[in-house]
Amino acid sequence: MTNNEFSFDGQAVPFEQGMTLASALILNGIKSVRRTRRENRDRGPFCMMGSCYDCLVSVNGEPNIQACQVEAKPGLVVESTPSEPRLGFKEL
Amino acid sequence: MREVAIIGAGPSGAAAAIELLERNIQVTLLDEQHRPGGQIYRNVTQTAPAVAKVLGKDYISGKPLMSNLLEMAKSLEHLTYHTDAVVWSVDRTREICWRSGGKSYSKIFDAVILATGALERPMPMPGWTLPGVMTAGAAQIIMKSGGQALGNSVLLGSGPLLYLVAHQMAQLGRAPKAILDTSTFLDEFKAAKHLRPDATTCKYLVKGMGLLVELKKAGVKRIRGVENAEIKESERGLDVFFSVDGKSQRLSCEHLLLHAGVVPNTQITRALDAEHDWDESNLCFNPRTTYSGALQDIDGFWVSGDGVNIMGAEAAAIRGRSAALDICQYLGVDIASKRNDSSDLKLARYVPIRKFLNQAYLPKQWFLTPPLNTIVCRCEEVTAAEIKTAFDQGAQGPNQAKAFTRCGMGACQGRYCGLTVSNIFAQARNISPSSVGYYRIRTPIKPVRLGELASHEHHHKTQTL
Amino acid sequence: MMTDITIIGGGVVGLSIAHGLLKSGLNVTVIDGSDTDFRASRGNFGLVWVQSKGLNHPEYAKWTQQAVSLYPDFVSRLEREASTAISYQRTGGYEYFLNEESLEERAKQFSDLRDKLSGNYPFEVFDQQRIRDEEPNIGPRVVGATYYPDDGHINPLQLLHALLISCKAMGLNHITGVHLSGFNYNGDSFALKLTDGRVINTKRVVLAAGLGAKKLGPMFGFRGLVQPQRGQVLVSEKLPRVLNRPSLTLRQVNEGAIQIGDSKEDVGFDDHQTLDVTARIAAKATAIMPSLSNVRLVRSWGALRVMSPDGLPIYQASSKFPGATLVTCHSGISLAAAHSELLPRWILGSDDSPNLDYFGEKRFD
Repeated sequence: MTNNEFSFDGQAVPFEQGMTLASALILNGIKSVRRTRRENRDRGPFCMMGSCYDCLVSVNGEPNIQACQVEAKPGLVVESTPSEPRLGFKEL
Repeated sequence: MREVAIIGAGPSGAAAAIELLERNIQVTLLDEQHRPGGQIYRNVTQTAPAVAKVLGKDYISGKPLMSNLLEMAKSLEHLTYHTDAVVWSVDRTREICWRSGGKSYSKIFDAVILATGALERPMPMPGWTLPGVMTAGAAQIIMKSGGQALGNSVLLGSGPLLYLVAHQMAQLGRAPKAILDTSTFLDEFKAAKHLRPDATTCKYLVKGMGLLVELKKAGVKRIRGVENAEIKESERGLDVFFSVDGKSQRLSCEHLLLHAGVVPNTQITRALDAEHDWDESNLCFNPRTTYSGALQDIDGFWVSGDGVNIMGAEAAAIRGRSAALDICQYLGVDIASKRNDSSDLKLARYVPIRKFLNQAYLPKQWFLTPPLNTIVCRCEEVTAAEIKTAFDQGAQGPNQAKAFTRCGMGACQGRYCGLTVSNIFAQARNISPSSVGYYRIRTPIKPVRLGELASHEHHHKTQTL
Repeated sequence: MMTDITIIGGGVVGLSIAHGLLKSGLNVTVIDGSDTDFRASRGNFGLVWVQSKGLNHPEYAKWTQQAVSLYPDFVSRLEREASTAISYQRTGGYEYFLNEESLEERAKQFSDLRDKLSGNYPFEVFDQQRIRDEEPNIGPRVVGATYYPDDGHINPLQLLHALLISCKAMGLNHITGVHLSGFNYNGDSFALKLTDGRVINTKRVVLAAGLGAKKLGPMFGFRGLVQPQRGQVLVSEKLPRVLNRPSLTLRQVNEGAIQIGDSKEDVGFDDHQTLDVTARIAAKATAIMPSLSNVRLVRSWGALRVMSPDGLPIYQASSKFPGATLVTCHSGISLAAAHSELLPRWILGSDDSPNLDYFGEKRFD
């Protein structure tokens, strides 16, 4: 990972200073960042202003972060949100 | 020490803050973003000059206000400016809870200004939840915060923002393929009766014409009278199907940017159970306020800016100052040096253009009441068909529909489905949305972690009013 | 408009009763209020619960046991009638305890009740090891739990929805968006006047209007001794399955969210949530299940329970206006099967009617 790259599901994503994670993802052709609960459909950033909650990712292990509200920084480990996130619970 | 909270650091919040600070009133400014500007002046203090130029003079005009605010935040003791602060609760005791950096905070204030601006009206159509479909505002935010434009895009909807965004994208070397405008020249012609031969109107029209010329030069196709749009996935990315005068057409793109005008963000006013009135001219609900933005029947709250009703950024700043002056009187602080009634005149000049824009670009019914297979509630994936079924089964309005279908129960708390659901019921019952009503909005206004909420465990008992 | 019986109130109590009456072949009308009325049926927790009810009133414990024993068949039939799924699980349920004294106190109360019920109260006490075996996500601060095997939970909105669909399929006359403005009585039947001007001629009237009984009750010769009691509820984001069984404080709903509750306040007709109570509810929940700390709260609400002075249902026939009956309770969900299958017999005065004298208004004298 070089300066000005973060990883998304293992893939290096270059960005420019000041971009949010969501902006960088979209500008790099990554349009889907999560799967819905009911229909398991792809969703990605929609409003870019923190209102729609469609751009949820995990950042350095912390879940349910809106990608459009976080400024991209080098080395961040960003992951897509699965349809049923585990969130630290024991599986039954 | 009397303290005023302002939620939102856009033009109205910033203007209000400065007006209060100049009179030595303690202000706490809470904003979700890292830098001031709201959406319209997003990132204006940081944008590279070349990008700012592309974004235009109107955008740049917000810089002095925001820079001034940042200066005050550094130098004034009586301004507390919390950035990256997400307000999740506001109640009638004027207690505000916000979360920031993994923690939650709460404080009671003497007066509160809600300067949370506007949201884009939901624009449900089949396929609008597909990746690559975003709002026109989203495309603009990408330019404002990232300095780049999306490529291979098509814009769809109505309203001046479509053209502004298209122009900005073109100037950054990524002209959109087309603008699919749901409005027609006839709509504009009929709305022209609102226009007045004054400076503001002329300036606006000239600007608009200029945009159209530039867009034509940039090769942006413009199609008017677009109806019945549907979006599908394809190997190319997205296909948007639509019709004009009954004839079907299709366009392919990678990004589809939707826009159907903006409406006041009423989440907090709704959570306060404030009264709202249906605005037929903009097909939305506005909070009921006095002229200077005070919420009627709820003591100590003001709404400013586009949150009152949509008038744009310049009007927002005027409203912010007006609310601030009203608060000064409310707090018994002397404002003899400034009269508040001049704002009447200042706002009046924006009205003709606003009336024209509202009428000319009012979204069409096919846009507001989507086909049955459309997902209406994005968060819970509830379709228009399910909501119609709820109505057939006896649900009378959005809250019963919510109980039957779960629409409105998701993370966005109805921001992107509320107006659609109210409209569906209005259509089905053949009454005004005014009589149908809207979702009951409750805290949390935005999700908060249970651990963060629990940290308020030893909170004093909330006063019940 | 003529009808055999009119039920005032279209929540779970009114619709359960309508459901049963329609099955006995009567022409039934339900009058229901508006989208924004206080609607306890929309705000409740969704438990189908025996445990800890009627600790000082064995009759109520028995009535609840009977109601819950009818539940599984009631739900299966209703699902078929309405062609819609109702998530109902009878897996047993708990009350969690964070200290030994409270657990022991509760165990003693259950034990006393069991004696009064001649041993028919099959509760168990789970110690810390047992509860953590049963619920791996429960944290170390939980010292134990009381367990009752017939307890369960349901999606109350699906239940309400299914009742409405089934009733309408059976010909229910469903009038919405109106309230009762007055009535005339000729000794034999009622002419009910609605706020939209319509008049309904009905032989019988059932008041199932929740907190509306306060105002409507006296009109029909009842005391209508109900008071609102607020409960606040938190709902989290959706999770994969993390809880096996429901409890009074926490349950995982069928869609995956964790619902958290169990508060009681007397604040009049105020159904708002408050920071102090929701924070305490959240604190208790995270004490019971520590992983909840990072889970997001997505929704919360306050709802008003319909409380009689002793917390028991009120079933009362009017002596002043024969043909009118009052039905009110705060456990409309748990009693739904009984309200559909047993209560209509009592309302109609048939031979196989259950004896509900214990629940009459006379007890308040």
